[in-house]
Amino acid sequence: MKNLILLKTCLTALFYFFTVAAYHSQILMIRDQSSGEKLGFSEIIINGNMYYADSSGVFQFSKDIGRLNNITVKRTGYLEKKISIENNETDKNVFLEPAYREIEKISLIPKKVQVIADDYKRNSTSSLPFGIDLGYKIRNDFNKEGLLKRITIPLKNISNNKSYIKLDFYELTDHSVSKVPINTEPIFIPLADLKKGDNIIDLGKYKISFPKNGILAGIRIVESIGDYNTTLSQPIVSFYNSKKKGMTYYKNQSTGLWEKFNSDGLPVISFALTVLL
Amino acid sequence: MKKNVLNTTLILGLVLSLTSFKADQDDTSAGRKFFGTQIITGACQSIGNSGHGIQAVTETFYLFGIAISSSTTFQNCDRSQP
Repeated sequence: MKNLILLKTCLTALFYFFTVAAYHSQILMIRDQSSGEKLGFSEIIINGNMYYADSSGVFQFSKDIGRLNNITVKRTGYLEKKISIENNETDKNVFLEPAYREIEKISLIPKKVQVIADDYKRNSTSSLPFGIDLGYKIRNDFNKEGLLKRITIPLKNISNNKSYIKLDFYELTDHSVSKVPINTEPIFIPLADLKKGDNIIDLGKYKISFPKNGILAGIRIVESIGDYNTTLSQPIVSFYNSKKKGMTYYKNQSTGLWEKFNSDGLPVISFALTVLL
Repeated sequence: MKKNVLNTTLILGLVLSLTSFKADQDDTSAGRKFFGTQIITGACQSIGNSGHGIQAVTETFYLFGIAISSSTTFQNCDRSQP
């Protein structure tokens, strides 16, 4: 009987604790300034660390934050915004102004499907930590513009399926890589949707052009979305490496530019692209 | 005679295997191992944030000089450490 009362008391205390904790959690809602539309997967930079809103544009602070200044909120296609937030503030709407830019007119008459792929080694893998953007160049040997249809990512192992793979595609010019991705919508793939072996990801809905010189495929493992969590660093997913040699790039987080990895003989992750040319 | 040659070959093979077996040892040389795990740790490169960097660590398992498996792990590193 005594135990039952004790259990009841504990449960009540826990209920109050979580109610109070939930009451104090604050929410940022990221929206388009013109339309009010929710902007899913917006980037939120706090103290140099990158976090992401969830697919509905919601970002939650579920722990004691004190006062946070210089929070940067950004998303491809919008001007970035700096905000600050305090513990006792109510939930906040953050409106981002669309950044209109001239986009070169592309006239596409897709003719046929081509697959750009390298075989992968079954005994060679690469693992990525959270929060680092790695990039791999995929050349366009057909020398004409096309449209990305699918990307195939072969995986050897997945040990945490709560995380996401974030993909971005950047245009290769003669001597450099564009700073802004070609895809105007963020591409987040839940690891829970992936399996060991070949994973075919449909890119058709994103309408991403495949430039004449090729692309740099940027890949990042995102620990979680929609919440202000601490960043971990252990690898959770291993990719098969290509049989071909290549160069690995990483994104400099201050400049936003892609830089070459200095280590010699690094393997490159194997991707296969299906394009309409 | 044949038995002696076979024994000598086996002993030589065993000695070579044992002398080159040093698992989990950091090795920055490009030379291959005969048997065991070779770990090559790349330089810590700045990713732009204060003090933080990224480096590649490649572990390759060799058996009789042949690379059996290889795994590269990209990991965060501290550039303020020597």
